This record gives sequence, structure tokens and C-alpha cells, in this order.
Amino acid sequence: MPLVATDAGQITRMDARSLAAFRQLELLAHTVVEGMVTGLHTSPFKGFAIEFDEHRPYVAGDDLKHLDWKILARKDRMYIKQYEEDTSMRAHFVLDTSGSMGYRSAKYSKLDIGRVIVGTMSYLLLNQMDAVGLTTCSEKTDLYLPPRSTRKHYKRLMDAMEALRPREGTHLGETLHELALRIKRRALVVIISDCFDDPDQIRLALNHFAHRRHEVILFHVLDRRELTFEFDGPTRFDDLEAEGHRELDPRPLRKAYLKAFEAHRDILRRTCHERRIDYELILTDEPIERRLARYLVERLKRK
Amino acid sequence: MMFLAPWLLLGTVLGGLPIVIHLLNRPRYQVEPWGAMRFLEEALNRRSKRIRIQHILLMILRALVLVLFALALSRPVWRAENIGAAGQPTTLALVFDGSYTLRQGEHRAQAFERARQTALELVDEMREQDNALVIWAGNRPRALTPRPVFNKAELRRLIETLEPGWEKADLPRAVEHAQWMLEASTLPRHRVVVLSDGRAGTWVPDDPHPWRGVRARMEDRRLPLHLYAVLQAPDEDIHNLAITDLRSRFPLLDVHREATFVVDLHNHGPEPIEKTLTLSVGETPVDRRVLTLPPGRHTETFVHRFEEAGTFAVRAELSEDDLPEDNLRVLAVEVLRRVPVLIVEGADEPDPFASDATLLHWALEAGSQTGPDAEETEALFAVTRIPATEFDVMGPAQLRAYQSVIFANVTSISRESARALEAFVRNGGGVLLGLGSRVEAAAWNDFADAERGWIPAELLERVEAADESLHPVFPAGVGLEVLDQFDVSQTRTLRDARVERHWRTRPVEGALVAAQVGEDPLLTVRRVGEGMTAMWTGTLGLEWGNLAATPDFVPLMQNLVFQLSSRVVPPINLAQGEPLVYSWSRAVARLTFSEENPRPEAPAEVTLVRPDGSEIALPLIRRQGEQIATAEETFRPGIYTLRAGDLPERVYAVNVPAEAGDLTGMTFRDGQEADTAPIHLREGGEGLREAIRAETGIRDLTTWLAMLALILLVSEMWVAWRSTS
Repeated sequence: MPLVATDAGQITRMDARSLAAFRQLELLAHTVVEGMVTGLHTSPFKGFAIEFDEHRPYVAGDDLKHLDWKILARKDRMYIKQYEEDTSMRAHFVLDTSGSMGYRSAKYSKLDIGRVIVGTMSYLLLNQMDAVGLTTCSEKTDLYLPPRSTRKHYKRLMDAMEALRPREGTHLGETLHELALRIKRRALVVIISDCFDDPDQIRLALNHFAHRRHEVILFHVLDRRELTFEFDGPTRFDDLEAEGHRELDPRPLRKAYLKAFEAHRDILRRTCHERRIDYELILTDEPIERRLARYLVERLKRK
Repeated sequence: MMFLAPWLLLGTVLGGLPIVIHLLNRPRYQVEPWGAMRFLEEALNRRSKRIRIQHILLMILRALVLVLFALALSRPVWRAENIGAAGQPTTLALVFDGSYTLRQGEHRAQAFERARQTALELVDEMREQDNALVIWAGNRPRALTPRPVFNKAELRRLIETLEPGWEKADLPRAVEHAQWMLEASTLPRHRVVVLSDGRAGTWVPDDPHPWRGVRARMEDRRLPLHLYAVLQAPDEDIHNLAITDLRSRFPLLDVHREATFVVDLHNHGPEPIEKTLTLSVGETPVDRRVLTLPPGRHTETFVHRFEEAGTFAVRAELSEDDLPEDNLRVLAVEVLRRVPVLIVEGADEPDPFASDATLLHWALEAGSQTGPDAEETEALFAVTRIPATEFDVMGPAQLRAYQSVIFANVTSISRESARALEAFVRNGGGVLLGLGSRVEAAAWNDFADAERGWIPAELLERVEAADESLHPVFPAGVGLEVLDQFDVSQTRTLRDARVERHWRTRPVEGALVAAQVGEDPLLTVRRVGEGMTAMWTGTLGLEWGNLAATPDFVPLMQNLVFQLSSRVVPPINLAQGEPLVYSWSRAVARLTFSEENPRPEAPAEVTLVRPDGSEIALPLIRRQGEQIATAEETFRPGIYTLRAGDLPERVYAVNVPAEAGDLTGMTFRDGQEADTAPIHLREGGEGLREAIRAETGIRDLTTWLAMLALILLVSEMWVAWRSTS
């Protein structure tokens, strides 16, 4: 059961009604992963047993083609090669858990919204028998769950997300570089972050993914106040990612802030556009289900 | 330490205002956990440069505001050295308004005191190379410094000793006099400052005529002249009831008839005033009235009969008001017991009814003024009759013994006699020329010139009346009050008088026709100097008519000769500043001497008692056959009493001019130029200094600096607002 934000601000498993809405939609990888839900498309990556899992003793009735002849010859024992069931697509979710993701001016924090995105999309992907992995990061990679398509894996993933708390600063660029190196096979990489990191680092990391022919979706999750910087009077800004604060009147700074903020977003948007990466701005005060549904429909149309 | 205005200490509470503003404006921060600090820092870095510039700008603006305010408080001036005017040596002519309205107010608040202070300040501001003139604007201008004075201490002493005037200033003449005196100054820059109270009566703002001389001199000047007037603001809420005139209805008074005195009053204030008006003869009050007079002019009439002959001071006096100087008016009158008259006969006619001189003599000595009292049987006129031949050898000295000379059908007189007669008339004597059949027109017409002659009309031809019903007509209002009673439209007098023949005459310019016969003048009068001449174109006897046989002949002749015997200007009422001239010779000539009462010897000097009680000795000086004493200073109004040996005292009266007490202020705007002359009118000394600074190229920068500071203050507020919004 995926997670969903409730009115109380708590994350619970997504209810059946919400999931039903997403179940209508089908996620199609745009470039790297060519196959999607079985039966809809012909995948370029056909067949199973691509991934060896374990040996087990031969029992009567087993298909002899899976017999490991090398072991039989060497040890004179019969073992059956057991393969992990292969998937149509591998999806890696990268969820930013830095301190800034904990900011909220409305009902939900950015991390809350990130959880919903990960929970919803991983559920959809698992339903398609796709493998889903998760990486959470702040200043470093905090958690890495390799992609699996099992139900058990899904539960583990959900449990891990429930335990997430915003912490430390952001080194998103480095984390993405690490992940790009770690993912050997082409995959769908879904990055959920506010991207409050050096934009050049992020740009290089996204280039890295593109170079390795991964398909990347960047969910740029922001709070509306971060986008508009509207304050009534003098404000003390306590840094969520480090010690320290700033006491100032934000009104005269608004113009300069927005300029800097837009410049940052502009780099992200331009990089995504150049690398054919889906860039989606998600605001925390928007209904996340509708926002996701719209994105997936558009994506389906593009396909 | 003490405070002159302790209530202003409440203003110190304002000192707490910035603290309150500071506390109220103290920022109250709302706490916001914030993730996007990198953009905040970037914005701060991006703005910090701009904020730094704004702070520097604000600092400069604030510093400039303070500097400019400090400069403004120090009253800076800018001297235009390039104009060269500021450094030029200047001659300053200070013209003091001598009008007695400047006496209004008390002590330091007195208008004159304020004018004096302004003058002293101007003197203090003079530089070493500057000099000054002081001119007094009285009824005629008087230079108090004969030439420009460089010595400031001397000028200060002179100004400090000045007393407010008693006159009505003739400002146009005074300014013109200052212009004339400045023409002698060798300094390159000239300036006239009139110190006045700005009364409309002295400035005559509606009449450019008196100022034409000032304007003409301004146009003719080689060097530029700057004219200023410092006008002390008049007190509008002042009440002044003034006596503007005191006169006798008949100029010559005698002991035989009641004298009528007319008092003109003017309430210059805006409300009715109740005052007591007292008429006194000498020091004795003879009538007292309580009057309530609304604003405007009023006339009161008093009647008094003098018991004795002599010189008397008749005083009309009001009770106290805001400007007491014009509450007293004095008229010096000479009351006669007898009027000496000389009749010159044209022919020695034994028949008294055929003699004009005899009939006239009888008429003048007629006993209409005599009464049951033996002392009053004396006639008013003391008549002397002489033949024309005897008159021709009379000199001026003999003529002075008479107050009137009457020619009764005289053919002609010699040129010497005519000259003596003209001098006699010009000094106040009267001449009646009665015509007749013996008169030679050409001989008399020699004296009929309008400018140089003295008889009132030119003789043309003898006229015989075709209609015997022609009778004399005396129109009213010709200016001879004594003849008003013969106006036939009002009375039945002269209805029976017939004029059968007369001389047709042509009156000279300026002569008055006081009576007519048909279309021709019957009686023509002419003022000559201080005297008067008259021409009766018929005969004074019965040859050409029956007038001398009517009952009206006596009062007509007595009144006519009475009028002619009066001087046009009574000799002992002086205009302010008019020299007081006493003739011992004339005073003696009026008296009758005998062996018991011999003619006195002339003293070396006479004594003049001035209105303030002080006495001065005046030497008797022989001049043109007369022994004369002269006093020049008669500006102070009041009674001047002259004592000469054992002779009776003579009283002279000097009054403030009529309407000089009019306190109506001139309407003007500070800084404007007068309508009648190029004089810059300023209210108070500060305005004058400002105008002088402007004239000399010195500009007071206070206002400009204050305005600039204000603009900078607004700019500072705008920049500050911009930096926070």
C-alpha cells in the first residue's frame, strides 16, 4: 500500500480510491526502458533468467534445461539453477531528505510530497512487475535499496520511507553521481528533490545519467512561499540545513531573491530540456494526486 | 538660570518623541524555519552592494540636511562681487518723517522711537567709507547735517537727540531735498531711506502731483539712486478726535460786537467719541460743551464778546485721547477798540450832501455801535480825512498808521503814492476805491495789471442807466461773509437803492465781483498780498444814485471797510515753522502817545516765551526803516508770547496743521513700489535690509538653504522608503 498525505499531515498508506485513480494510468518509459506493462508493448529486453539468483537441489519434475551441468560434472550432484524473475523496467527513486525538504508553509512539507510521489509511482511500477529501488540522500547517500519487483521489497521500501526524517544539508549532485555509477543497467531514475544544491553539480549529475542512457524524471518539489518569497514584515530565518539564522526584512530582498531563485530553476529547466529529462515542478499546496495524474497522462500522450 | 517663557519648556517633552518612535518601530521578527537559505544569502549578497550605496547616499543626504539647516540658521548671504555694488562707498540720506502722528504710542513702542531705532541700526551698519545725511521732513525740509557725515558716533548723537515732530510732513519735498543734497556727494552710490509711519495724509498715495519733482530728479540723475521707505505699521485701533481749525468768523474783532468762533473737529477713528470741548480766552474758560461725535468732520460755533481791546489767545481744547497733540488749537486775535481809516477826498466840497467823503465819514462814524454806556459811544472807526494833494506826499510810514485807505472820487494819485499804497496793501492794509465823475480812468488803469497791479478792475467807460430802476445786487457766497446780509434774495435790504450811473469795468483775473448793477460789476474785490482792495463803480455819495441816502448805506460801508481793514492772514497766527517777525515800529505806530504817555525808546532786545515756558531773547535789528525781531523756530504748537519793554504783550499762536492728525494708514504691500514715486515701501527695518541686500547684489540665502534642506529631507525619506520597500 503506498503512502498518502492526510489532512492531519501524517503519511499513511494510500487508500484504495487513490490507488484506483493511479491504476488507470500507465507509466511508459520514454527512451531507455522501452517496454512497460506486459501486453501493451513489445519489450526489447525479452525473456527471463537474465539475473541468476540461487541454486537448489534438483527435485523430480524439474526441467532439466535449468540443471547446472558444471556442478554435476564437478561434484556429481544435481542442482537446479534458479533465476530471478526479470522485469520490463527498473526504476530508481532518489528522494532528497535534506533539512530543507522538511520546510512547510502550508499543510505538507516537501518531504511529505516526496513520499507520496515515491509510494504512488512505486506501487504502479510494481503492479506492472517492474523493479523499484530507492535512494535517500542528504549530505550523503543515507539509504540505498536496490530495485526489486517483489511485494516483500515493496513493504520494505514503504517501511523505510515511513522512517525518513529530514536531516542535514544537501549534496544532491554528489549523490546522483554515485548513483549513476552504481546503476549498471539502463533504468528509469526518478529524482524528487527541491534541488537546493549547487546547480552546476546537479547539471553534471543529470548529464551523467543521460550519458549512461538512463531516463530521468526530475520532480522539483517546492513550497509556494519559496517560489514567491512573500512575507509581511521582519523575519528571522532559521536555517533548516545548518546552524544559524538571519534576521532581516525580506520585503526589500524579494526581487533579488526571486532573481536568484529563477536563475537556479532556469539552469535546471534548461539542463532537463537539453537532456530530454522530464522536469516537473510540484508545489506542496497543490493536490498531489491530480498533479501526478496529469503528468502521467501527458507522458502517456507523448509516448 | 531662569526662563522667560517657562511654558515653552513643555516643548522638551518632544525630546521623548524619537524614543517613542524608536520603540514603536522596533522590528518584531516572526520566526521562519527556512530551507532556501542559499538564495537568501545570494539575494543579500546581490543587494548588499546596492544597500551600501543607499546607505552612503542616505548618510550624505542626512549630513547635508543638517549642514544646510545649520547654514540656514546662521543667515548666510551671498555677495555678488562681480556686480561691484556691494563694496562701493555709499551715501545714505535718512529722511525722518516729522509728522506729529509719529508721536502715537508710548516709549519704545512709539512710532518715532521705532523709526529712530531703524535709523541707528542703519548707521551702525555703515562702513568706514560710507557717510550719511539726516534730513527732517517737516512742513518744509530741513537738513540736520549740512553735508554728509562719516563719523558714526556723531550721527548717533544727532539721531538720539531728535524729538518727534509737531508738523505735517511734506515728504515729497523732503525726498526731493535729499536727492538734491545727494547730488553733492562724491561717493558712487546713493541711497535715500524715509522713516515714516506711512500715513496716507503725508504720503498722498493717490496724488502723483506732489511727487513729480522726485520723479524728475530720478530721471535726471547721473548716478543711480535707490529710494526706500521704512513704514512702521500704524496702530489701526486708535481713537483720535482732532481740532482741525479754530477761526473767527470775522477776521477783525472789536469790543463793540460779539465775536463768533468756529471750531472744526474731525473724528479720525472708526467709532463715535464723547469728549469735552472747552473754549477759553487766555486762561479763562468761557464755554464748555460735552460732545458725542460720530466719525467724520464736525463744526461747533462759540460766541464771545470781548470787553477790552488787545491781543488775546483764544483756545479750543478737547479732553485727552490717543493723540493729544491735536486736541488744542489756539487762535491769536487782535481786538480793537478803534479802526484807523484814512479817507482821501477827490474835491473839497462845502456841501456835505454833495461830498462823497463827508457822507462816507458820517456813515463810518454813525452811532449804530454806540450804547447808553458813555464808554461805548466811541465809534469803531477813527476816520481821518485828507485831500488828494496831501495824500500824494504821504510816505509808507504814515500809511502804516491806518488799516484802510478810502478814495472818494479821486481823479488820480502819483506813482510814488501808488507804490507806497501797494506796499501798504501787500502788508495787510485795505483800499476802497470809490469812483465818480472826477475819476480819470487812464490814470487808475495803470495799476490794474493782473500781476503787477493792485486795483481790482480796469475802468472802461461811464454808463448812464437807461432804466432808473436799476439797483445793486449782492450775490451770496462770493467769500465776503460781512456782505452776505445784503443778499437781496434773502432780505429786503437795498430794495430802495438806485444806481443811476456807474463806471463799466473789467475785473482783473482773480478778482471777485461782490455786487452788480445790471450786467456790470458794482463792487469788485481783489486780494493783494495780505491785504485787499475794492472798487465801487458808482459813487460813495449821492451824485450817481441814492444809495448813500438809504439806511443800508451805513452797515454796508462799515462792513465793507471792516472787511478791508482785516488782513487776509491774521498777522499773529503763524503757520508751523513760519518765522515769527515782530516789528517794534508797527507796534508803536498803533499806539497813541501823549505828554503823559510819551513814545518809548526801542529796547535792544525783546523776550519770547515759548509754549513750553522757556524764554529766549530776540535782538531788535533795524531793517528797511523798521526795528524787527525774528524767531526762526516756531515748530512747536502753542502760544508764543512776545514781551517788548512796556508795550502790551503780543500773542502768537502756532497750531498743528489741519488734518495732520489723520491716522489713516497708506495701503501698501511690503516690498511694493509706491504708486506715485519710485520708492520701495518696506514694513520695518528687516524688510529694508533685505531690499538693500538685493540692491547691492547681496542675497540672503536663508530661505534657499532652508528650502534645499527640506527638499533633501524629502529625498532622504524617499530613499529610505525605497530601501525598505
